Amino acid sequence: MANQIAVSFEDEIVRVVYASSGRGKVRIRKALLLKNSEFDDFLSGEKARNFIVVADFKVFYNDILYLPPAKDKFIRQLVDSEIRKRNPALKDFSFSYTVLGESVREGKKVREVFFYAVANADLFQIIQRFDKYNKTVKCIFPFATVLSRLVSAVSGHNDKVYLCVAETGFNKIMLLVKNGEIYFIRTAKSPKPGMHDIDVNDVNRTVDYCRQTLKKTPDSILLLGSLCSNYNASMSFAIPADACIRLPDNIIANLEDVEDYLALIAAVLQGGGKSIISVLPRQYAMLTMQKKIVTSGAIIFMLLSLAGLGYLKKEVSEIGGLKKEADLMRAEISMMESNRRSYELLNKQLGEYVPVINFMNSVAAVPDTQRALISLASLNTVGGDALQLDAITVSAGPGALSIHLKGTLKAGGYADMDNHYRALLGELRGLKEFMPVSDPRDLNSRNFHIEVQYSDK
Amino acid sequence: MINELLANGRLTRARLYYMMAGLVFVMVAASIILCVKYTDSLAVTVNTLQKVRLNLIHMRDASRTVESALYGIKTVLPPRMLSSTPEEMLLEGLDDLKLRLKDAGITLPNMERKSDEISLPVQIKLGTRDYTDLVNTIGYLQSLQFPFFGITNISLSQGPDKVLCEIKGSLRMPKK
Repeated sequence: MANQIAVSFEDEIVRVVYASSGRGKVRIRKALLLKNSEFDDFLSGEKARNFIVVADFKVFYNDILYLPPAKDKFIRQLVDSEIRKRNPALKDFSFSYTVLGESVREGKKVREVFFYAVANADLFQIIQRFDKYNKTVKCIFPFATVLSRLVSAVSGHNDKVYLCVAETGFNKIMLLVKNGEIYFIRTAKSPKPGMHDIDVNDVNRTVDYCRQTLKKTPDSILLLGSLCSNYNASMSFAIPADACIRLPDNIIANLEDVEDYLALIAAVLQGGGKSIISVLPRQYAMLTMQKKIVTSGAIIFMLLSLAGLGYLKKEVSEIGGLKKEADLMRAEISMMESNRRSYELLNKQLGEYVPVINFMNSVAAVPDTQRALISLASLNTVGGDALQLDAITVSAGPGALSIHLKGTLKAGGYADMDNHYRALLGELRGLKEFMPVSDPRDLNSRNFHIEVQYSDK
Repeated sequence: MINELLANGRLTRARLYYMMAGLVFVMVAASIILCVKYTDSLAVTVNTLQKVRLNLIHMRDASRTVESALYGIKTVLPPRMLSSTPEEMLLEGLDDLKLRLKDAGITLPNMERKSDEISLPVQIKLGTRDYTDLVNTIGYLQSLQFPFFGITNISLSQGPDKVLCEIKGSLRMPKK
């Protein structure tokens, strides 16, 4: 439930309404009636910061403008310049406007716009009263225009033209309303509260003015608020008085004199259009917006800082843990320093033997010649009579021995000779350390020359 | 009018709070950045220290290995290596060789000196009727240590009544 406080200034009287709104209903929780002089005390004691203000401006400017068709975003500027043109004395002002529709005037298509302007001096007088106590004014509604919200809330939108009559202090306010939009506002002074003959006369004259000057004939008169119950006139209206407007159905209020707070209730009514009829000075709206942004920014910064402090705390404890771990390790390392010294010493000693070790490795790298010769002695074909080895040469190369076998084949026939030679080669291939490289033979001389590589690694 | 409201100071105060909050935030953010960087560098330090610790443990194990290697080398090396020069040991080795191969003809070119070793080329000519003797002689030459005998070439050829053998090689000693 959103809570709202609306304040209305009517002559020497200040009315205050506390309302809660939600789910389409507005509940009036409390209403206060204060003297103007008591209002400062009220503000200083009130905890709420935001207020909606309804004011009955003594001096205001309203009219219907006929503007050339323009894009919506330019209308405000057009209305502003038109108000300045029409009221040269009005230098600094705020206004609200409503586009009533389009019509044709003097053969040209025009846009009808109703405006309501108030001098900023009057508005800031109100604002300053709140600002003194660090309160913010959210909207300022003129008494007359805010009532149009109530009329549209109660009567709905229809094509009937109503002349609505309301009371503020001793003044009677008359509004010409169609489709919830205001076409004309007039304030008439009245000697006493309630509806009397003199007021009926004023209403009738206004009806005539609307008919003759504005070319809008009201279909009926709507009496608002206390005028319904305080009707003491013997004269009758020029047009039928259709109804009395008291409260919309969605308002829940348990107040005896609720009719006196109608404008305030209209101000807290839910629904759009509030900002359109508000005459809150733009500079002030910007100022409050700026303040809101700055305050929000400060809050965000503080929240981020708090979160950051939390993170910082975690980081600091982590740093403590790491430092402890590092210190422990340093102590352990210093205790193991002797390991390093002994390693370096031993390494140095070993370094002195490195040439000897390398030398011994190079000696060991040469294949075992004795084993190679033993392997050759194990060849069966060499032991027989079929062939004779004449010479063996063993040369040591890098990692391998190169062995040359020269001999003579003794077998009688060439076929036998070939068989024996093949058997010899087969035997050599069967020894895993031997790898034949070449094996030429000469059939005429019966000589052969076999070259094999021996490696025992 | 608006100036009066501005002069009222509430917006100024809000701005001041905003700036103070901003300043606090900047300080906290800066502290966080510093802390994070410090934590990272500490983590790197701890990691490095852990590596150093592990390396020291490895050094202890490596020291044992080096110790045993040194012991092995010292066992292999003859004690006279400490007192004699490589040349002396080469010549002693040659004497032993001549003593062992009495019937062989041994030819000796000049001693050769390389960067890390000294060698004495040796050419041995011998005749044998038994292949086993020859193989044993080769085995003997291969088993020589300090000086070592490096065989570069062996030629066996059938003579009229025995096998002629020519062994080329060198007696080798590491330089000190």
